[in-house]
Amino acid sequence: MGPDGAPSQSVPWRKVLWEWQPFPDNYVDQRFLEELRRNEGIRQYRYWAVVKEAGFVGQQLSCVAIFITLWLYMEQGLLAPETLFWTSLTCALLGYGLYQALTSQTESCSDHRTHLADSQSAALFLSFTFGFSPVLKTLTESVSTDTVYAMSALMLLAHLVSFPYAHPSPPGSLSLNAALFASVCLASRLPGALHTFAMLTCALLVFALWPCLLQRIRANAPGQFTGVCVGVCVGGVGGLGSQSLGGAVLLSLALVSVTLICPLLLVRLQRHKDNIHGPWDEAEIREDLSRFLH
Amino acid sequence: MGQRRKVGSTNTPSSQSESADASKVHSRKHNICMVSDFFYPNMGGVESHIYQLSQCLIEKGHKVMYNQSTATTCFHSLPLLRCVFVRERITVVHAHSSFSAMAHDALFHAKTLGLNTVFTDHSLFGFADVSSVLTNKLLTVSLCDTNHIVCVSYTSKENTVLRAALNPEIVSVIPNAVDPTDFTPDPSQRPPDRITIVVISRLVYRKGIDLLGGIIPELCLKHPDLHFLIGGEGPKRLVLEEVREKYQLHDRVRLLGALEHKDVRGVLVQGHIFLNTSLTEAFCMAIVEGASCGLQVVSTRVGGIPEVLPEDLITLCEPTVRSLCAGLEKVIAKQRSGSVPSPTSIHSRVKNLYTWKNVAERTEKVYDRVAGEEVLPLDRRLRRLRSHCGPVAGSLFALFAVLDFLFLLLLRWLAPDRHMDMAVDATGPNGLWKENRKNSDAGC
Amino acid sequence: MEDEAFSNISGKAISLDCQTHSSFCREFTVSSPKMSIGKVMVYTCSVWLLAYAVFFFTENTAVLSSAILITLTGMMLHIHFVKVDHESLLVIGSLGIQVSSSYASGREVTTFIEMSRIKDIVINEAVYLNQIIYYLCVLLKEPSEPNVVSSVVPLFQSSKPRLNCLAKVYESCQEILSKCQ
Repeated sequence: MGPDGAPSQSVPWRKVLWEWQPFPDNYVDQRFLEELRRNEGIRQYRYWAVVKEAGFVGQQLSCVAIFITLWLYMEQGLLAPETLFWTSLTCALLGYGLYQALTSQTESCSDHRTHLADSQSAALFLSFTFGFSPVLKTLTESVSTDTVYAMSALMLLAHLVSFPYAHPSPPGSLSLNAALFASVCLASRLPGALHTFAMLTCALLVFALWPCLLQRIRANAPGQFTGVCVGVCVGGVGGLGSQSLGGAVLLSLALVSVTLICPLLLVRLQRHKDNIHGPWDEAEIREDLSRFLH
Repeated sequence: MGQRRKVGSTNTPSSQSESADASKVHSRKHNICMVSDFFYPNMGGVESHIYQLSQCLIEKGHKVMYNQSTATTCFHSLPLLRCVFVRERITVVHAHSSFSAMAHDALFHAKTLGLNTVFTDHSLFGFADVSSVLTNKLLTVSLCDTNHIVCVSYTSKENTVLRAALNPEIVSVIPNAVDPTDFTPDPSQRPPDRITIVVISRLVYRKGIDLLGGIIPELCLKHPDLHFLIGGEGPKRLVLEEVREKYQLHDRVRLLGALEHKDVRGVLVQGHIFLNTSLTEAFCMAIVEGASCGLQVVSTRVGGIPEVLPEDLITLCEPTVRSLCAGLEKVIAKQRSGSVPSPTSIHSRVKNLYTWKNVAERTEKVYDRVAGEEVLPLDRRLRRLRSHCGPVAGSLFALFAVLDFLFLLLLRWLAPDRHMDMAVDATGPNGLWKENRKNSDAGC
Repeated sequence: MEDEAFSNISGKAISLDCQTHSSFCREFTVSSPKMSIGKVMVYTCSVWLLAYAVFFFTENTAVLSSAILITLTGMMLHIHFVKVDHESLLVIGSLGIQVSSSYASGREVTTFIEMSRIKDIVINEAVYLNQIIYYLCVLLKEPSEPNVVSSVVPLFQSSKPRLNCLAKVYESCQEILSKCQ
């Protein structure tokens, strides 16, 4: 049993502790590590599939760019708030129709919300925003413009980082709040109360409703999803390009790295993956045990 | 650095007595320093392992001392540890548990001081998440120049060898032990009209308490004479209380709360079946204790548990509610038909499987082996670190090793070894106050 | 009874003087080394050099005079409150133990522990800064609970002699204590 015990070849070694075995304590059998399993259940990624998934990240980036472009237009007075508001409303109605059309194909029965409830919450939101827009307009008056810009930039970044790309419908509370905070900050720097109202409506459309629609498209019409993403990206780059060429270049670089280079890295680095499993792993409880409680 | 640290440094009255053991001439006596963050009065497997092993080693004529601390950082423990090692003339430093910061510290400094080192790993670790990646790297660095490593089961050995990228030849498997005299069966304590399942474990996620919460209603509905006796405390107590509340099982599921080690036997003997639902376990002393009290053991097949008891004493199940229920039902049916071996026969089979005396003998062999090995001098230690632990971590810790060495030189210059009083052994042939027995406990 | 050389825990030489007044009364005096002139010079010089550096930039003579003042008062305070010249332990069987320490300035602090409150005198070990030291201490008890150690009074706190010195004192103390019990 001790290190000086003579190993005899006649008795095979067994992986048990209860039995005295004629092997030293530090004996290494050829069966050592035979239960080791490497890279079990690993997912093999295909490059274009990853690119397609990364498209969601790219289009969210572009959405932020589009929002900033709209704000720039508003601030310079090139875009009337009425135009923006009516366009947003039309887009929202069109999007709603599309959403319903995509829903009805599959799980319309599981949807509890009625059109009436939807229109009620939309009306509630619009009236409240309209009522409070003069307050929101003066909300950051005492804060310097630099601070407001820095805060908005930070919050939009937070929105992008914390956005739940895997399940974007509904958008995560942190990312949605960060985005709305940024839009309130930006909107309060616009010339009039109506501008603020239009901007906030637009923000809601871009940051809250659009991801839901896109998720629905991704789930029910995967063929069109790629096209939509490319469209949004092109729109983002083009829009930003009309205001600032440097911004457009930076955005397109970011888009290329996120949608093309990062997936390439992921697929390449996958080769070096060495995941070890064995009997020492903590067992996972896979069953749903909450049925015993509730 | 000059702060006073909270260190509970306890000396056992080391007995270097020429007792009966001494006639069985061992190659040499060692002065062993056990280092771990875990020690009495806290309770747990590591604590009792250190205590029991030390007691047996002292009986065999070695000198053992413990060291325990609450918070350490890399360098500031060196002066104190050096003081301890020099004063007590330590020859082997034995660190326990990879969770203990002090154990890693002591290993690091002991190597700088040129002492032989042994490490015992008591736990299993995965490879998947960030925290395990970091601890595994630390373990690699810590163990790459440690003389010998002890693991408590073969699975634990495989795990440690992989985690620390070790040569398996320097890893010994020495199981934990259970004092069989503490865990004797007493069938008269079992209520005759019911079947009792005993669970004794901390009520935490890793012990599979969620599974237990699924098993209790499943079985209680089927068997009206089934009772559960659950000892232990922890955050998952809530789960069990909710289950008890929902299924109105207050009279059949008793939660005993935290148990002291001496009370465990009193609970075990009241049951027929011992259930262990752990999700990971390196050795699992609890099932041995349960079997030693003559209970039928049902356990999950995880970690080192399949190695611990022979197949006919344990029913192994997958860690799912269904599999555990099936296993328990089988054992309950056997229990009802009376085809289970008697508690006394189970006890007599288990009692000689794991004894501390055996553990101490095997550990002693490790010490003997280690004492003959040389400790790597600084230059080779640095090369070893660089080659073994990767360019970044290796270089970083090589730098630490150099700084540690320089710090040691500074300390040796500031407070030379000859200015330190050697620790006096309160008892034994060189005991100063052999005649003043009443003071020997307070004096040292 | 001046004999073998003793040292304190940092390796400095100290002397132990053991006077036997009677078989029941013994006095132990541990004398620390005198303050070395070199150390005084080093401290003084460093304070003055610092002061001169400050003076060089500020060109204010008050700095220099305050430096002189600081060194003088510092030295006075040091010898009056910090520097212990010798510590003595007077054990009188059946009466009690008197512990006194005299500072370099001549100030003396004396405490007396009566025999009824003394449980025992032992050598204990403790973590002191970053090392472990032995020290001699008196265990006190409350007369109401004679088996409980109520508090501990460490002896020779400033000279901190090493074990061989402590053992000597301990043995003679035990001799007296055992006689009067």
